[in-house]
Amino acid sequence: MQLKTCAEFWAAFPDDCVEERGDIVLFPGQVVAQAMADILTSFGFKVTLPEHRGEHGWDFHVYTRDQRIWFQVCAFSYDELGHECWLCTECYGNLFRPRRKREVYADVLIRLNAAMADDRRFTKVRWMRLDQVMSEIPGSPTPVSE
Amino acid sequence: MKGLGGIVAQDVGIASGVLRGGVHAVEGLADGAVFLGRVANPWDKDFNPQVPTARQQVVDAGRGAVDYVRQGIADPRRVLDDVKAKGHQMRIDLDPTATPIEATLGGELRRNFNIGMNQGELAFDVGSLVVGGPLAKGVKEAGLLSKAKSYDKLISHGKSPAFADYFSEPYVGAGHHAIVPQRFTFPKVLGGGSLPKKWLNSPFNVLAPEGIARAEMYERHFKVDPYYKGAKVPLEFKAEGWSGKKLGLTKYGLPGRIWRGTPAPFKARVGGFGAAAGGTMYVDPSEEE
Repeated sequence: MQLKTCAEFWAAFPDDCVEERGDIVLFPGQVVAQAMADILTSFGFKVTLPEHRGEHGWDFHVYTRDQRIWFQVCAFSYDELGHECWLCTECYGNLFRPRRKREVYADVLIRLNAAMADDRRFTKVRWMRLDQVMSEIPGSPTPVSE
Repeated sequence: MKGLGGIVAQDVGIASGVLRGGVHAVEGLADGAVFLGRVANPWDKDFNPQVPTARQQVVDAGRGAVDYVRQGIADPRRVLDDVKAKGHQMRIDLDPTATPIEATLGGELRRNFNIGMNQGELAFDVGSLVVGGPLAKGVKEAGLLSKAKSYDKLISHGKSPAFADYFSEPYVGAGHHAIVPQRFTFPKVLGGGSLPKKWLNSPFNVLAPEGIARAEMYERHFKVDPYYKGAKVPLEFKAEGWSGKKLGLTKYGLPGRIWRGTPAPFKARVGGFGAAAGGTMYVDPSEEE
């Protein structure tokens, strides 16, 4: 099983970037991160509130079955399709079992991908490895491949 | 005679103390390595039945530290009292006038030698911090020198002069969190939550050299941080965001990330040991790319 832990996509949400005197003081993507967090919450996962991380964008954590999965959403540009975004994720075990559980990680990403596919606000979702983000490769429609 | 002997003993003690500072730093690294080995060892309890397991010690120490910080925030006077007590002990350790002169010449030589040793070790510790000054200055100068280069690079990639101008201005932002990333959270058994912002954003943790051009900081951030790919730019440029990949940049390998991504004050604090280790690990970025 190959796991693609990152994704590029478009998200049709209002532009929430905040500028002051021509400089960005609050990077965009909070609305996108919140929408994804809401989806994951609806699956019964414990999800933290998205936090602003400067140029990194926004991030939040999902807790499930002894695993913590970190989601970082970066809104890179904005046009008529909405935000052009990328998503980076990482799975962490706990203090006593630091090895991550791939099946738990995969399950969360598969469910998120299915929900995004059903949600018209998210389009052109392509999954890829971390090093492939922004490299203009076509990507995969699902986060898991054999 | 006791006075003169005391001065000589103190000078010898200072020199010995500087050496002791270095030895303690190495011991700290060695102890840390042994302890980490125990943490990773699933049979630690069997090998060391007489002491709590290393993992339990990590949990206990972490709990204690987190509790202390929380109590300190709730009751700052307690922290002040602790600092006062520590200050009193420091005076005894470092100031020859804080303790009475010994009755015998031997006792007095020993007292001054020990005080000198403590002064020397303190000098070693503070000295490794002070090295941060020139290092940070060097980084700052490098940033200023690179402005024109940053501008030319953006123009050569088809960006507008206004865009290139914006990215040649000094960087103001969150920087790269090198040692403890922003995504860090304490394990649940330690109470969860993230590191206090004051520590997370301290100069020892954040790479954001003073005066560095925005373009250079973005480039550096891109190269040293696997999770940083680029960011949106202000609306006035009517352009897509800054992307390291689209500018043809590549990420550093692990040694480059450690060396180029670590803030100068932290490198200076780790001192000669870290620098030497970094020097042996360092691979010229141009070779990696």
